[in-house]
Amino acid sequence: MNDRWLLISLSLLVFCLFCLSLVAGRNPLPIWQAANEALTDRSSVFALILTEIRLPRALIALFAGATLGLAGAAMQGLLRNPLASPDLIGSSSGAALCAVIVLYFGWQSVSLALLPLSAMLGSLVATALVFALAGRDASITTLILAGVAVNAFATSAMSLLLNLAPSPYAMRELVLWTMGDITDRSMDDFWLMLPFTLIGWSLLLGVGRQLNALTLGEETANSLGVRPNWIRWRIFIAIAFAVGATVATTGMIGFIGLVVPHLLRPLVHYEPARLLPASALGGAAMLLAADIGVRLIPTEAALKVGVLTALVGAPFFLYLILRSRKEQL
Amino acid sequence: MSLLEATAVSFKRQQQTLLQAVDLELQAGELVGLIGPNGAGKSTLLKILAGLQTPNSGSVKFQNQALTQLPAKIRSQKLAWLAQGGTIHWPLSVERLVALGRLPHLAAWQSISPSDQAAIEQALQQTGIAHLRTRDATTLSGGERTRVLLARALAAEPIVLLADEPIAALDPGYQLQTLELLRAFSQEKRACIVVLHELSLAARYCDRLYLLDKGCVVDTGSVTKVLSIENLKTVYHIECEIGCNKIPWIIPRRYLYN
Repeated sequence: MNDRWLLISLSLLVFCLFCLSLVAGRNPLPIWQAANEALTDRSSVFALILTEIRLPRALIALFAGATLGLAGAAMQGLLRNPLASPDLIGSSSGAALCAVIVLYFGWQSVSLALLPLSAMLGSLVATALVFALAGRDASITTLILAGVAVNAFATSAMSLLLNLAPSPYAMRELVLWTMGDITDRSMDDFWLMLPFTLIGWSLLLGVGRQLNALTLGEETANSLGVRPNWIRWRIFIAIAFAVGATVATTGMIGFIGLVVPHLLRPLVHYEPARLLPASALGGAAMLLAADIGVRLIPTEAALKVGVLTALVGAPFFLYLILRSRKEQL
Repeated sequence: MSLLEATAVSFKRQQQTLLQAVDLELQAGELVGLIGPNGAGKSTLLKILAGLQTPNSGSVKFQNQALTQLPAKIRSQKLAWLAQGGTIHWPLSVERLVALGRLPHLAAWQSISPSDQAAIEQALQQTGIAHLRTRDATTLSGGERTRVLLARALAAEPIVLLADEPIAALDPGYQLQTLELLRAFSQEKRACIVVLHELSLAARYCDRLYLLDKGCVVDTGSVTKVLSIENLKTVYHIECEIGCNKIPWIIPRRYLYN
C-alpha cells in the first residue's frame, strides 16, 4: 500500500470512529435528531448529551490519541529505538507527577492553565532526565532501565501524595485520574488542551527528514546538515507541550505511543518521516476505538480507557521484548 | 587549487591529546591517503576535516573559507563524510537509504526532483548495487552495506569525499573496484581523502600519503617517500619488503617486538 492510500484509509477510519464515538454508549444517541436539536434548541436533552458530553469526549480522544501516536513515532525515530514511547521513557509519568502535585495542593484553582503547564514541565524534565541517564546512542536495555528508574521515582512520589491525600474522596479523584480517563470532560477542558497540543504538533512539522537522516547515526546525520542537539531538544519540547497537555487532560493513557508506530512502521517502509502522520492518525483511531470499547464493555463500574489500553498494550510490550531478544540471539 | 587546508590542528579529549599540530592540504584532483596504526588519530582528523568536530586549536579551511564559518547546509553539500563501519538503524530499502544523500540539496518541503533521482541512480550504478535497490539495507552483507553507504555519500555529489576505511569489509575485487571509483571521483574540481590500512593499495591508488602516529604527522609526500622501510618500522613496528614492478607492493614480513 502506498503512503497516500494508507493516510486516506487511516483518515477514513478516524472519521468513522469519531462519528461512532458520538453515537456509541450504553444508550445509543440518535445522532441526527441530536444534531438537529443542537442547531435549533440547545437546551434539549439529546443536544446537551451531544455537545456537552459526547463531543468533548470524542474531540479529546481524537487529539490525545493523535498526540500519543505522534509522540511515540517521533521518540522512536529520535532514539532509533522501537521501544521508546512517552509512557515508557518517563514523559507521561513526569507530566502526571507534576499534575498530581498541582491537584493535591489545589493550585488549579489559582489558574486553570497551571495544570497543563506543570504537566509540560514535568514531561520535559523527565524526558531530559532519562536521556541524560541513558546517554546518546543508548541500547534498548539502558534506555528501558533509565525509563524504569524515572517512572519508578514518579510513581512512588505519586503514591506518597495519594497516601497523604487529605480525604478518601481526594484520594479517589487522584487514583482515577492516574488511570487515564476521558469521561466527564467538558469543552473547556478541550479548549485548554488544544493550543498546547497544536504548539507541540507544529514543532514536529518538518523534523521527518532529520529523523530519516538519523537512521545513519548522529554523526552521519550531522554530516548531512542535521544538528542532532537541536533536533533532540525540539522533539523533547514538542513532546513536553503535546504530551504534557494531553496527560493534564486525560491522565496517563499508556502504550498507544508504543503500539501504534510499531504496527504502522512496515506499512511506511520503516521510514521515520512517513511514520509521523500515519502514527498520529493511528493513535487517534486507537484511542477513539478504546474509548468506544470501554463504553460498550459491560462492567459494573465504568472501565477507564487507560486501563483498557494498558491491558492490550502490556502483552504487546512483552511480545516486543521477546522478539528483540530473539533477534539478538 | 587548494580545496581543504588544515593548519596546526590539535584536538584533546579528556586530557588525552588525539591530534598534535597537524597540517594537511588537499588539492583539487587529488586522492590522498591517510595511513597509520590503530589509534593514530586518523578518524578524528577526518571528522575535524568534515566539520563534525571542532579542533581545540588550529584551523580548517574549505576553499579558503574557515569551515566553522560555513553554514551547515553548504558544508554538507560540499563535504561528504563516510563513517567507519557505518550503522543503519531502521530496515530502509537500499534506494531510500542512498536517497538520504540528497538531503543537503533539498529545501524544507521540497521533494526529490528528477536531477536528485539522476544523482541517486548514478550512485547506485557506480557502486554496482542497482540490483539491490529494493532490498532491506540491514540484511545486506558487510561488503554490500559498505557499498550502499558509499553510494549514499556519492549521491550527495560532494566536492570533497572523506572516507574512513571504506574498503575494510570488502573482498579484493570490491576493494579494487571501490578504489577505482574513488580515483575516478577525484578528478578536476573534486578530491578525496581516504583512510586506509592496505598499504599496497594505498601505494597503488593514492597521489600522496600522510603517515600519522600518536596524533602527529610523521611523514607526508609521495607514495615512495612515505612508504619507506624505515617509516614502516618506526610507526607499525614491522619489517617489510617493498618492491615496485610498475605497481608498488609491500609485504609485511615480521612484527618487531619493541
